[in-house]
Amino acid sequence: MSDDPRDAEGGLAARHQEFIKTFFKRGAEFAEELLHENEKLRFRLLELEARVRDAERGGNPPSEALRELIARIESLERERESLLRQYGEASDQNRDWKARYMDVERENSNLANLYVASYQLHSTLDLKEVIQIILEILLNFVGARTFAIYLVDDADGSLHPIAAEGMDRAKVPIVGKNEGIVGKVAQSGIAYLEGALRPVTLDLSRPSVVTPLRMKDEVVGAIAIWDFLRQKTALVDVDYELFNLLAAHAAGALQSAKRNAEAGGRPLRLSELREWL
Amino acid sequence: MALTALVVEDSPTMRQLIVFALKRVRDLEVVEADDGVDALKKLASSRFDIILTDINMPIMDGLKLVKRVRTDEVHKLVPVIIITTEGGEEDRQRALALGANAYITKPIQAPQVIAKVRELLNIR
Repeated sequence: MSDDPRDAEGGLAARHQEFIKTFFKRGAEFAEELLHENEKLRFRLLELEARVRDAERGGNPPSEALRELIARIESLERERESLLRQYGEASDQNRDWKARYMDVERENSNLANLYVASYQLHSTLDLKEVIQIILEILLNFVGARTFAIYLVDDADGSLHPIAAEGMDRAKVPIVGKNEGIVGKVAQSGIAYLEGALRPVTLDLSRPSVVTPLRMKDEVVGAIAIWDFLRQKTALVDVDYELFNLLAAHAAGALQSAKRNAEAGGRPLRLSELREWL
Repeated sequence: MALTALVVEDSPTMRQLIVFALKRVRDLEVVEADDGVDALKKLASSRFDIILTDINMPIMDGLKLVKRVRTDEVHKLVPVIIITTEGGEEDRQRALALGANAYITKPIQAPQVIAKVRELLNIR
């Protein structure tokens, strides 16, 4: 080792210079790395910007996942439209079924009325009971308030009231053959259904409804209605059916009861029946 | 468990029509009474879930029956339906004031009676 201070000074300067060289060299390498990295990032950025522009222009084809997603959305849209259509159809069908159900219920109710009326009319041969049943049918099933049942007198064809509701039977006039609305209905056998359901004043010569009581082609009596219950606002299908039923069945029931009364209320023996057969 | 209805009506024809309608209510047994007095006898011996009664009846009418039912310990809360020819609003109000739960005028429509019975019994 030299004792000369210049030698020592020279060594120090050399190390110093070496350090600076290394420092700058590494700095240059670092800067070069940074520039390179920067260049790569700028390239990546340009690439991404280009893809964004392509995607924005729609020119970039969607990825597989995106395609599946779009397909699923389209499928769900179709399914939703189909379900809405089916719901609409089911709703219409439901309304239709409801209307039909109401019709069936109404028809069922009407048939029950007719069944019970017919059943009751033929449940007895007692004349008073048959008359009572006819009155009950007219009051409870039809909703008549003031009415009378007439029977034809075979001798002169006049009509005689045998029962009345809503007024005294004695006040119901006897009707001559072919006289007035009641007489004409008995003569023609055709029902009269054109009067007002609730007339302002009760005019016995102007009934609301008159229906004949027929045994086949023979008219044996008539039912005249002058007034209906206040809640009865109109005649409905079942009322006309009941008038038709009464026209045939009430006449038969009345005639059977009348014959039974004439026979003393005694049922015929089998030996007596054979004479009729 | 079956429910039981008491139908109070003096007209056999009308009574049969009501019974016929009530047959369509599942698990409902029907007992018939001719008038208010007959109904009270049946109420004394059996427990009913609903009562359907006419107003105009001989011996005891439907309104008196409603009054009696509302003081009866067993049946005071049982629903009562009035079925009548009396279509006036004052008649309806009188019946409801006495404790009737529903008021139906004749001529009846079976679906209307069935619907009211189901509603008051809270059944389908």
